Amino acid sequence: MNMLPFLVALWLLLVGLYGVSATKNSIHLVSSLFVAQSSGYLLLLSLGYLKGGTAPILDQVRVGSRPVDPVVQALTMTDIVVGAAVSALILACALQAFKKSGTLDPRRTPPMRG
Amino acid sequence: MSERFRIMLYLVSALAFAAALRAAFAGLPDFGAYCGAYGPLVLESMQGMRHAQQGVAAVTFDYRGFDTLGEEFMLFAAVAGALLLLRRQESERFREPKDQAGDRAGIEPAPAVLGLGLLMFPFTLLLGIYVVLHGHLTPGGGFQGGVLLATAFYYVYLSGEYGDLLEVAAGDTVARFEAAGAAGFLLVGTVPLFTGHRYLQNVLPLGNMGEPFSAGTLPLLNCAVGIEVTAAFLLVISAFLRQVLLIRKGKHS
Repeated sequence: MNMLPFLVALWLLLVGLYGVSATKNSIHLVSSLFVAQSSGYLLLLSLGYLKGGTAPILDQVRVGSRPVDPVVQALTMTDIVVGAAVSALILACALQAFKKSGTLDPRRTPPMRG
Repeated sequence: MSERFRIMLYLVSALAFAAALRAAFAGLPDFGAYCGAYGPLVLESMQGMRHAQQGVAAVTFDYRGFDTLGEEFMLFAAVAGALLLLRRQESERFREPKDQAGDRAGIEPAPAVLGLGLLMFPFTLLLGIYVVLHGHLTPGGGFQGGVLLATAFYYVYLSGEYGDLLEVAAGDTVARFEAAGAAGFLLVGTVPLFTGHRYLQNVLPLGNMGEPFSAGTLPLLNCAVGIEVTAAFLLVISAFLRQVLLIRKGKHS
């Protein structure tokens, strides 16, 4: 059986998590988080794929091909939006933490006080 | 925690996690042999029920419309949080960027960069508007088109005119657009309640399939989301630019 896309998703997730756990830079942390999150996109999209499938836009379906599942594609879009929003928020946090403590290393950043 | 121990801990847990996930993937249907129930059901029903032909848009703005409302407000909240974090702190002051070159002329953007930026701006703007307005007919939609529309303004920044981009986002106008986009989605959902329908129910005439004015509320929701996403991305990028260009350490003078 063909599991390659799922295994690539697994690999992306582990690589991203490695980056998160080994990082010494908040900006690198955000990038790693995004890599880990992109495994979700890949997993969702490859789950919904049909052999010989085409985009789920019904006026453009060729004869002999079937449209793939639109539900997982819509979920992937949600995932991407969430990823972008979370990245912006963490980057903003990292910027202010850098200004307060002079370091981007999330392990050396002192706890925040109000 | 020492560096070595941290990596070892990651490797051990990653191996266990990978084994568990690999076992879980083995229970999935083969790649390309998808057998879910909802996708085909949506594809079968959306032409008759909604006169919609774009499956992803129909799912996002109709079948899962309420979830998209949450998604839109999550974006709204994240942008509000980022802007709150990136405002001027008490220990900082605004500093007008000064020409440090003195009597020498400042560095003008290269004519090629400026020309390309000016050339790309209207085309990207047009493409963004097209993608938003045809979101229910062709690939795209409010989220994708909104990002494109914001990209058009990034060309202004890339061609060296970052002051212009900051000016665009300086007042309340862009923030009002963002709020209007978010409110538009809420409004399209709320109006059917007054006529005895359910929240976000598609009450508009469905029109002829394949035309710009078709599929009921889908184009409206696409526009609302497009406006919100454009404004949100503009606000965030201008807040980061302000941090780099205008905000400096030291008390307000």
